Amino acid sequence: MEGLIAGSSSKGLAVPEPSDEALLEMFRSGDAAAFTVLFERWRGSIYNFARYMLGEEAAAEDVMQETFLAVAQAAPSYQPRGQFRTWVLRITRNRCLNRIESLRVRRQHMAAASVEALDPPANQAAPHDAMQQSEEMARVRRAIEQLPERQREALVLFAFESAGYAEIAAVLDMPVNTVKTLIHRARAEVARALAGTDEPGGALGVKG
Amino acid sequence: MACSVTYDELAAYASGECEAGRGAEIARHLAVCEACRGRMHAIAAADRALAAPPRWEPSAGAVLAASRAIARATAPPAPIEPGIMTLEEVGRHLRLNPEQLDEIVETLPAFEIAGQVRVRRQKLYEWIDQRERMFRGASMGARERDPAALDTP
Repeated sequence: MEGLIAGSSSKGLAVPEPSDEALLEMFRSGDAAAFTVLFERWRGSIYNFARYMLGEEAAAEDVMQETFLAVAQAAPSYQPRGQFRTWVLRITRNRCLNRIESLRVRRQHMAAASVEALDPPANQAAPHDAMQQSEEMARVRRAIEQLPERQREALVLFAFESAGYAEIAAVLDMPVNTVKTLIHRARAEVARALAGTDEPGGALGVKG
Repeated sequence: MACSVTYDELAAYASGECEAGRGAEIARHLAVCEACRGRMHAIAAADRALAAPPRWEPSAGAVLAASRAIARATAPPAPIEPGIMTLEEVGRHLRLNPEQLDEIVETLPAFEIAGQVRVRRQKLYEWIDQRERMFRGASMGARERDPAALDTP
C-alpha cells in the first residue's frame, strides 16, 4: 500500500519522465540539461552506496562527484549494454574499492613506520549527513555498517536500490549464487545484530 | 545444542529461496526448535527494517559542488569565432552603423579577395590597439611629451 502512494506522481498530469537511457542518449547528442536530470535522479543512490561502502562523509561526497564526472566523460564512447543504473553503480563501486585499497596500503605503510600513532578513523555518526537519526534507524544503520564489505555492498544494493540478484551480480562482478549467499548471510547478520541489542531473549539465548 | 539449520539457511527459507527438499526439512525442524523459531522472528524483523532502510543523503553543499563541477565538465564548447571577418561583421563588432563604418573603412587593415573586402580578426585588434595608443596620446594634449604613445610617424 505504501508502495502505491510512493509510486504515484505528485504532478497532476501523468507525463512520463524520460528513461535514464533516453536521457543519456540526449546528453550524448549535446543536451547538457539531460545530464543534470540524471544527476538529480541518481545522486542520492550513488551517495548512499558510497557512504555505506566507505563509512565516511567526505570520501563519499568525492566519489559521488567523481562518478558523475566519469560518466559524463565516458558517455560519448559508451556502448549501452544494460541499464544506466547498473553502469553508474559499477563505476561508483570501483571508485570506492580503489579508495579502500589505497587507504589500506597507506595504513600498512604508516603502521610500518610508527606502530601506535594512527588508528583508522572511527566510523561514527557524522553530524553533517542529513539522515534521520531515530533510535531504530540508527541501530539498523549500525547493523549494516558492521557487516563485512562484500555482504554490505550486496545488501545495500538489495535493500536501498531494490536491485534483483542478477543486477547486483552485474554491479559486483560476482556469480548470482554468490550474491544470493551474501544477501542471505547479510540478512541473518542484521537479524542477529538487531535481536542481540534490543530483543534480549527474543531470538537467541531464550533457553539457558 | 547445535542446530542442524544455520541462520543463513533460515534467512533463505524466510524469503522462500530454499530448495524444496531442504525447505521441508527446515519446516519440520522449526516445529520442534524454539530457538530457530526465535531466529525466524528476528529475520522477519530485520527484513521489515531493511524494507525501509536508513538512507544517507548528501549534504546540500556537496550536491552544489558536484552540480557545479558537472556543469563545467558538460558545458558545450564555445562557438569558434571566425578568424576572417566581413565588413558587416567588423561593423557589428565595433558597434558602428554603416555610415560610421564608411568613415573609417579606408583605415582598416583590410584586404580584397574575389572582389570582397575582408579583415583578419587579429589585425583588427592590432589596429584597435594602435588607435587606443593614439587616443591616449591625444588626450594627454601633447604628443611631443609622449612620443612612445604613437606608432605612426
